[in-house]
Amino acid sequence: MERMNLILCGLGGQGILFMTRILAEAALQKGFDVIGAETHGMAQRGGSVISHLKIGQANSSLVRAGSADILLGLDEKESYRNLGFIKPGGKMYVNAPSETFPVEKVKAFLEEKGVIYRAMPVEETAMELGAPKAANLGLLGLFGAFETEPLGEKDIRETIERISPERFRDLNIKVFETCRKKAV
Amino acid sequence: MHPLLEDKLGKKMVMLGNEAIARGALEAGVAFTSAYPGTPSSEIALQFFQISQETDLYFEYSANEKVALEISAGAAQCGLKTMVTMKHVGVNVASDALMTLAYTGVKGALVLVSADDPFMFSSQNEQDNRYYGKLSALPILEPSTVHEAKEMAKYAFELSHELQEPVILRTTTRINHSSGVVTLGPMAERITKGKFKKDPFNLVCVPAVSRKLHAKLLENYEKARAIGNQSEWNLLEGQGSFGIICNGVSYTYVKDVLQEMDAPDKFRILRIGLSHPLPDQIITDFLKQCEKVLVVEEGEPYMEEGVKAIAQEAGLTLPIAGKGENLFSRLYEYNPVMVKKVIGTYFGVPYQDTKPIDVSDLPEIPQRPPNLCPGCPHRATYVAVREVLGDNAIYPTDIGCYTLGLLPPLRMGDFLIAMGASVGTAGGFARATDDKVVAFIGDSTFFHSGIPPLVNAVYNNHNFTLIILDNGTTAMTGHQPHPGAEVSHINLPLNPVSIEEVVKGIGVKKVVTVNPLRFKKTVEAIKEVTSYEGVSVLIARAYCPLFERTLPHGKKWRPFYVDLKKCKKHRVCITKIACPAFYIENDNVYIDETRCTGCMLCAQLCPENAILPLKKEVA
Repeated sequence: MERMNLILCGLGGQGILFMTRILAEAALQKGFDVIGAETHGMAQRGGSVISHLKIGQANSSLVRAGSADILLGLDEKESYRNLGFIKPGGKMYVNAPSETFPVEKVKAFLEEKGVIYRAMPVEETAMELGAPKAANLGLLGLFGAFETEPLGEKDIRETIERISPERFRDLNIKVFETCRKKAV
Repeated sequence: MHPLLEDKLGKKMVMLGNEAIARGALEAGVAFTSAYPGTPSSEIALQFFQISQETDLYFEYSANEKVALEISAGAAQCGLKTMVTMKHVGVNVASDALMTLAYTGVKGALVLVSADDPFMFSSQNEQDNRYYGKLSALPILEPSTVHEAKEMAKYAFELSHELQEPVILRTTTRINHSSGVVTLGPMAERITKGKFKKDPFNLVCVPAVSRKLHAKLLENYEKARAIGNQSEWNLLEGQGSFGIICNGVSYTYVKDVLQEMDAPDKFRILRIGLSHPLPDQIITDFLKQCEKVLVVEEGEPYMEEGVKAIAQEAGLTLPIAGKGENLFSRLYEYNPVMVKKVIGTYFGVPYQDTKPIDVSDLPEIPQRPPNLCPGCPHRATYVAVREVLGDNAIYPTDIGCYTLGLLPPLRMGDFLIAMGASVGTAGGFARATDDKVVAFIGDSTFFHSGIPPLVNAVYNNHNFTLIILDNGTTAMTGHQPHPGAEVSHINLPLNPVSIEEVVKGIGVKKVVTVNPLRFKKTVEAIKEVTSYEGVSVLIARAYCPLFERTLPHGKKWRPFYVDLKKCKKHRVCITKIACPAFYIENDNVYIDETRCTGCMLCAQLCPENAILPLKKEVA
């Protein structure tokens, strides 16, 4: 792998920054360089939030349009908004019911661009597990179920264990694992 | 232990730019720190705040940026290494002190971090603070990457100590809020006590002293220029005859673009890291080796103007460009695609135009502007004010979360320019129109700069109501304490100042405090204060729900739901309140129970009493 460009998107309060941190820490642990750009402050208040992450050598932190290998969407509509970032043949993991995702027009678009997409209602699962705010960990579970390089299931789980605040650690792992197993 | 105190030399860590700056300061031996929070600078102060609770590092959230600078200036006069952090517009507030602090200089070290915000992600303007370098004659350092932010922060202390002057570390949002890998260096010893040596004829800026000190400042400026001309922060790369002069994040875009253009031997780069004073000798030598030069800098043509002046002095006539038609804009932030296009066009180098993927026929996604959170007491205050006065008043507003009240359906915000200006402008609106004027200001902003204009209003017999929206914290920037905030739960031995006592002490005769989540009482209180002739103050006090969650005594309320049997679809909840916890499905209004905080505002307004508490509490 030369470099992997990721876009993580959703709404303020969904834990996009923590999700970014987990991937960045996991990548560093494996010896990769990482660089990212985040949204903080006023923009976070319930608004659209986007986080750029590059794993591997890069100069600038911004992923440009049409060059993201992977898009992780915690919100279905925000994922549609950011479709322009995905490169042809890229991949998309989205928090949405797999039966209804994506809407027809988007489906045609993704198929034309050869984008592989997987959707799962991870927020619902997180809620059932008593952790409505842990959809971000659920989405990483979906990611971890299919991705191996540069980061796979094991790297992510170890990082969640290492950097989660003590009081959320077990629940975070539970949401991650449950979603990952459901996805496989 | 705080992660930034890690002492494993050479260890690599992922850090936010702001964490890297704090780490750099710690490696330099910073002992005394102060700040007023402001995006994109806030996380630097947060690190110092946390570290000060477990070490002998001094940190305070000061009432405003000017005070923050003055506190650290005092400590620096006693020989301590100090850092002050603020957003770009905060420097305007601090500038009165800064301009003359440049005259006295400092004894230990003082590094002022100015976090600029091109594109205004979270700001009222996008001023380019490099001009403060020119205005004050102080040196400016500008990092391009997260790792460099740490290294430069550290170096800024050395430079400040060497010149005996404050040094400005100027960043942009894309540095502050980027994350990257940082390699840890050794930590210097922290010296937390100093000595003040009386020296009034060099430190008390009466005219006779200042005349001498200005000359000394200009000498220091020349020293800084000489340092800049030798400085490794002004990087030279490449051998080509097409010259690119860049700074900050623009450098990373230029690097990305040139790697892609496959013309590495055509270009030569000068990345300016010590950008004030501009390194005239380095620039002259650089220009002499170029046939054409492009200056790539976000914001104002600060370097471009300087480079052109330097070329003129050296008698060089090569084309130099930066801002202009088909070139770069003075607006907003840059990105690699834009930089590629301008470099390609200007130098006539073929490039592949990255066409963004066409998404025009995809479903249109509604814009999602930032919004007041579910349960936000500001929303409750605004709904009540609208109930009483509707559009029959002028509403100057201020800087904070509550600025978001300008959006419909609340539409509470008619004028906004600067911290504290709601109070200052209110008297002008009232005098000029004889209309009812109701100004809004947050608790933290009130202490920051709302007090002098309130004194002014009382003294000059103005006629308006000031509503102080007191949610117990500086919410917008991440719940920092302020002089009125209760902090006993984190064991800080501070003395919160009462807003009521301040307001009454100033001489406001009509002062009412209300919990805005009690709708009817709030409406009554608004009627009472707004019918008063003269200056009246309403303090609307209820915790920010995001902050309350973190308090040991914070209450957790049951979420509510809409009883569809009772609901007759008046939609008052949507048209007047528009809390983000509501959603409409199949023409029915529902409440998202994971977002509802149970503030009960909507339940009090529903004409059918159809909004009720959920029976069991969600986890």
